[in-house]
Amino acid sequence: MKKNRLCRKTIEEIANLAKLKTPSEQFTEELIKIIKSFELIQNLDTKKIDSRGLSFIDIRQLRPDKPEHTDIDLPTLTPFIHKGFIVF
Amino acid sequence: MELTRLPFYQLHKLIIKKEISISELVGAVIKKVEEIDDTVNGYSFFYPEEALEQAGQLEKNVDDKIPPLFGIPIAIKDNIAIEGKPLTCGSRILKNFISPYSATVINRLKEQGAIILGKTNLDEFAMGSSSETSIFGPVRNPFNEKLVAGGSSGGSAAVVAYGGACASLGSDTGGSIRLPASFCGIVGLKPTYGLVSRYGLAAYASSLDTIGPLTRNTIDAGIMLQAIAGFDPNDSTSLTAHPKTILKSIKDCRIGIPEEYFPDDLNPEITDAINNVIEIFKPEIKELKKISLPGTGYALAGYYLIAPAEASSNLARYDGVRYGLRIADNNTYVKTRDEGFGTEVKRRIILGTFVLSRGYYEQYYNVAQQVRNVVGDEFKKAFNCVDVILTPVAPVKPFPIGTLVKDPLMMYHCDSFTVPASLAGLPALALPVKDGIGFQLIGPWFQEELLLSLGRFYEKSIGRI
Repeated sequence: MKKNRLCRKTIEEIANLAKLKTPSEQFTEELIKIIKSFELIQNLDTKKIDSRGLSFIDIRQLRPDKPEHTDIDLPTLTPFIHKGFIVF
Repeated sequence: MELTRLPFYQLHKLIIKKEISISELVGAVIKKVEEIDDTVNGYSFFYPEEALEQAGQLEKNVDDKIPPLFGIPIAIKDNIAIEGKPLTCGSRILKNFISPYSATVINRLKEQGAIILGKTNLDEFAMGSSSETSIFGPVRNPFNEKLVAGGSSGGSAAVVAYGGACASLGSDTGGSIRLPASFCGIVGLKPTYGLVSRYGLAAYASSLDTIGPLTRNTIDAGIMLQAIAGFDPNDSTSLTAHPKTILKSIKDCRIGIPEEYFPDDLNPEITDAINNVIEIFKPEIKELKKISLPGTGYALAGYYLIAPAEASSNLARYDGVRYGLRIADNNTYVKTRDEGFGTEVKRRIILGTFVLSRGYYEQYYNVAQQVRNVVGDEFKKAFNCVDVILTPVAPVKPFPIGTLVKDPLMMYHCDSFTVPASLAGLPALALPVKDGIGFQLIGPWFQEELLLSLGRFYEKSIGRI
């Protein structure tokens, strides 16, 4: 993986891309410090990891083709005591 | 009997029995706000006259079949849209913006007859852990005004804690419901991602944002969740699953304690408080097991790369043309954004633009997505051998206002224990222990029922109503 050098000029260019004014020196220094602290994630062995993100959720199982009726039976929600438990 | 201290499921019973009137309840809550909120600064907008008028209208329809939220005064975080009301997100850029429509959660609460008392203060665009970056000033902890209330739903937590609302809605992207709930000594529930519609929630990081309740106890949290959850065609990530909130026995429950959430340098007060909680559960459950989630160490960095990346895209819409503030200039776009956004929001926009830019995408964003996968897979494996995971909510106690706001990296560390569940989209319930320390129960997707059952067991064990 190519490691890009992070410097003030880079942050100035990025601020321009984000449609923000050139940040102050202190702001930039803080930001570089934050980004550098996040470099630890590059220690993660990523060779065998799926990079698509959230691939472990099978969204198809959770969504039918058309919406279900979702009204809640409200009167049944009034709490009451049942076998020592408060239920509603 | 102080009405503003009771959980609303008990107030509901009193309203049905006509032992109290809705106007009486709303009046008591308004009085509390007028007494305390000048100090706490929990409300950004407060609507007492409308609330009293609505109370008078609802009074006429009280019978034994009214829904549990009927006539209950609630507060809404000011990043959730209510038609005709301001939607500022605590930002100068939206200071005069009036929402043209209501969020799905608002419509659902109104259908039940809930009374919206006002909109609550928050970190600008929900980006923060202390509720100090709002244009309306910091939210103060109701138990000690020198301390923060936690964030970003600090206003929503504080007003429930001092009795300025019977419940509230907040949003949780990386811990923004759980952290302030813990700091303010109340219950906060971050639902499974997709269970509650995000339609009408001002977007921060869309793949992580959730709306959830902040309440005085777990029963109220369950009732609120039932009211707001359910499929919504207006939200493309909304799921059809129904929340189950009927409390059940915890005798067969196996609780996992992940070692990564108890580092050697964790404040001993927090360790002791959580150990006491574990001791309460121990004799009642099937098994208590030490587990390991090694990806936790990468989760914070992963979150603070993914969330700003999404934020930089979501906040590109604030351009001085379509919404709120407009600074007329020969470079209106830049000038408006520069004057409209606060320091933390700018920091996250630049950070997000950076990690998505050519040359850095693979180095940061791509790896962060892989971290997200690792964290999710580890939880999935853990839930093969335990039913619920118990952790502290935060590695810190409520801290003095102004101490961390200038040290963003330290502020980000407050979220260390809450971001893993957010990255994996899991439900998590925060419950108070003492002095702003709380514990968190994380469950598999859609297991809010189990979290609430365990939470209720804990509340009953310590004598909390």
